[in-house]
Amino acid sequence: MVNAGRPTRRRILVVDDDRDTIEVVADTLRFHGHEVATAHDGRAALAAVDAFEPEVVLLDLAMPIMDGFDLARRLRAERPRLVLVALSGYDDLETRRRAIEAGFDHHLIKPVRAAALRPILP
Amino acid sequence: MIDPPGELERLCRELAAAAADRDRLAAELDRTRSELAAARSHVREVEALRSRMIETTPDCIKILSLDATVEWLSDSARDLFELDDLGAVVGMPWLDFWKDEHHDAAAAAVEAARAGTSGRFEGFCPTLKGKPRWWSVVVAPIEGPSGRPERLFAVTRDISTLKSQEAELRKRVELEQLFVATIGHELRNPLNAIVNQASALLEQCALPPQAAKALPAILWAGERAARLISNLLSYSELHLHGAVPLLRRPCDLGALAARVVDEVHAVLPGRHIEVWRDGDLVGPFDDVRLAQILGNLISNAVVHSPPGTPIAIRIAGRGGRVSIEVENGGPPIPGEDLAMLFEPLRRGEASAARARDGLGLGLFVCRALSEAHGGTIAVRSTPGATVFAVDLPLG
Repeated sequence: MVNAGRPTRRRILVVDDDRDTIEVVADTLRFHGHEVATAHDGRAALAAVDAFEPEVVLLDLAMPIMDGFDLARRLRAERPRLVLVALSGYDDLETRRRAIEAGFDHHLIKPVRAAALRPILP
Repeated sequence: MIDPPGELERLCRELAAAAADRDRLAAELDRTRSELAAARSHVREVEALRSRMIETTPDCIKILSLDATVEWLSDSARDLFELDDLGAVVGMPWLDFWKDEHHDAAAAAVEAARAGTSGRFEGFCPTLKGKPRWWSVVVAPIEGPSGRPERLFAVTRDISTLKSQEAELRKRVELEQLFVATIGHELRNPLNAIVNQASALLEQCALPPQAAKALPAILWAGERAARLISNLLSYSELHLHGAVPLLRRPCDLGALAARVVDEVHAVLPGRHIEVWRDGDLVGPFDDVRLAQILGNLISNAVVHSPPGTPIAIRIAGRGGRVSIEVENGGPPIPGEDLAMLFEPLRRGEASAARARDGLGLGLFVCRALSEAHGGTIAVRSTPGATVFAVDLPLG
């Protein structure tokens, strides 16, 4: 097992335009002891990053207003130490390459399981 | 005057010989005349055949000088190039008709023909009235008596229809791939909601016994559906492009295997799966594709072995290579099935086994992804142990 036991408490921002998904991911992370904030689009996410000061941001790639790639580029430029995790229904090479170029540290393919999140939370 | 004795006889003999020579020469002349007539007839036949071939071929035939000036072109040029006056083109530099990279290809073909071989290319050149046309072109040398090229012979075939069919096919293939990728994405979103909600319920709530039993089954079905979507997308890429492209980054196979096993444990908590790691396991791998290989092999082991039996995963890095073995204690695979195991959409297997294994894409995709990494996959099956072994180069 990797990182078995209770993980370190982290401040995590979850950004996804699907309200059902975001709530259950947020609840699961809270259940595991993390402090969690949510945002439903890129603009709200930028405001939440300033207000909440997260260590990790979980980002859906396909969002209205500002997509996950653009948001990641902004966040990476402003906050180099932030851990950026892409959540995506696409696992093709082009999407994954764009995610790396945008500055994401990890790319998780939906459905995202808690076991996949555990080893990448710092 | 009286001839010396015998002179008259000698003269008569010479006269007779001269007459015989005359007859022989006359016969030779006749023979030569008839051979010449036959040769003329043959030349006429060849000429008629050549003219018929040039008239009936849909291609345009051209004779060029060694510096690629048009010297002669067949009548078919009228239709093919929408040319009213063939003479207008004679004397023009043939290479001037081609532009950009098509000019370069035409120049290379001319150079090859000048060197005594033939040059071929496909190029774009509109007709004289501006209609877009694609051509398949062969340029060959015409050797003189010395055996060296003295002029060039160019055959041009209109392949515009073929090119537009190719473009149409390519567009359809791209649309098909976009369709499959979109379907995959659209299926993953609701699947994400199902798996996340079911996981949360199982992990965070005190459940009545029936729900506690049902939720892992729902999650395992979700896992299988997720794997099926990934395998379908990989199969689609393999089918359309012949390969799944890799995104290689430094990857610790030991940590990756532990994560994949954690994911399976989360939905099959009763299943005993052990991971053994040994040696250097970090290499430039595509982590998403290796997780797919491991997930498929573990899922295969779960499906094909009795619930109480353990599954062992052994990962070892030695001598610049890494081996991944996934072993289950299921019944041995019949010899006749072993050879077909890595083929897609298998039909030979017993229906019960097929029903459990879905479309039979998992092992096919495992083989393709192993090979894309420069490795291999093999299986050995004896009573009590079936082992799938992936062997990959570590660098």
